[in-house]
Amino acid sequence: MAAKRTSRRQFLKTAAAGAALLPLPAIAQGAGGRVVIVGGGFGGASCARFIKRIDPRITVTLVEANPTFIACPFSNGVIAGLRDLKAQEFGYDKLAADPVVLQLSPGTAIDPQGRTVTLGNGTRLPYDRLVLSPGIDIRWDGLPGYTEAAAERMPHAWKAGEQTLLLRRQLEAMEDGGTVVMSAPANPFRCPPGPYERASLIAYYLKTKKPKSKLIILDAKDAFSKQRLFQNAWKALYPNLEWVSLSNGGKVTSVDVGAMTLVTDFGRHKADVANVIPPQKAARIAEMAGVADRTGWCPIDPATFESKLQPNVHVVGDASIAGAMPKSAFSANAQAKVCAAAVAKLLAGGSPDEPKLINTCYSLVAPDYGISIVGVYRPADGQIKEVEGSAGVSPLDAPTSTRALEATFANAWFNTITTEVFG
Amino acid sequence: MQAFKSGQVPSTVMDRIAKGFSDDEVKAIAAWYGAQKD
Repeated sequence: MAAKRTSRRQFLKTAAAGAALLPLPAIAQGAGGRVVIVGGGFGGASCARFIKRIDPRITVTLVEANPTFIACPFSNGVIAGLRDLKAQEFGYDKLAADPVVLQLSPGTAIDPQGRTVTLGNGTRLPYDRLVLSPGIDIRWDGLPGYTEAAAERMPHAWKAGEQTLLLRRQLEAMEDGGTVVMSAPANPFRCPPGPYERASLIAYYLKTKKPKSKLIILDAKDAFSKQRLFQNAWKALYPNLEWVSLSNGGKVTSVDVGAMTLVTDFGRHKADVANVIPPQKAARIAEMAGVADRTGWCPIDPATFESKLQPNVHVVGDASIAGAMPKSAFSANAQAKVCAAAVAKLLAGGSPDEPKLINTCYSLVAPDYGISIVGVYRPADGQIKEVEGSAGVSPLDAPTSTRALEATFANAWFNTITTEVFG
Repeated sequence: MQAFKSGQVPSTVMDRIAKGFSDDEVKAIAAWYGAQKD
């Protein structure tokens, strides 16, 4: 417990160090104001806490439909039976003590002209600034045959919770010698390395529990995050894992749930267990607020995360079009801090400073085999761009001790970020 | 930070992160840390 507290303090220091580059607004007279935040994940909960930390006089209300947040990072470990779903669950008690006003009800309507958010429980919340961190929705019209009912047979498990457990149960129920088929979508989507971490950990489960089984990943892309690191590891660890690229006919064009079959232009793949990671878009509330464009995602100002389509509305996390930044929990958390500083400064009548953002994504290829990708970002030419020379993945030729160390750091990262956001 | 950047101190991710910050930014971060009491 003591160790956890120390790491949290260290992390807050780091976070505030980032803020040193975007100086805090001078505590001006008459600051305050009302901020409503919709979405209590890594982006929204972080933003709520950091606004209160920067200027306690601002009234911050967090709108979230679910009383318990279920984190996606590390949920692939739950699917592979390495971890309990309970380890992914977090509550909002600590935010309430900050104090952030909690409204545990879904946002059902947004009036950007009148500056109000209406909730499922009938409450109408006025705001001076609105922050949306709603995450993703599945494009149910994006893959023929893949309906909400189909997801009960072929889980996506791309929002952690019941879907995660469903996929785990299906793997547990599968006989040794079965075939697991996964499909990965085209860019952009939540967690670019996620499908490949999931494939790795499912392959680990099969290797240790059902060694006669095989795993096929059908991919709508020819390239993916940390590709060479993953592929080298697969060659060494998982001979029964096969990746089919777009060029080799990997793009799934429809699914036939009755026949438990994924269809590509090149053929049909019958599955004993099918995990379809479908096309995605910003969650529906973004569309309702008028901040999503024709791509389904939300264009933002790279320095403040204010919507390019609606004034006084900011969008952070997976729903935003954040240029070179991947859709990750770490990105959402970093964006939330920048957004919090900008919102506080704008409410105080100041002009926001130019931010610098960091992302790190760890993936586990096996429980003791971690790899990472890192990037540092800044606004340039109206977009978020990578700082030249900063980005990179783990070395290709690292010894097993480095992989084990990165697996340890991956676990430490999860504990640190969830403590910062919810603890 | 400078030692991470140059590779003088071995690391997993810090070398890659440090390369994203200029010398002035590293100084600003150091000054901020220096000003913290706990």
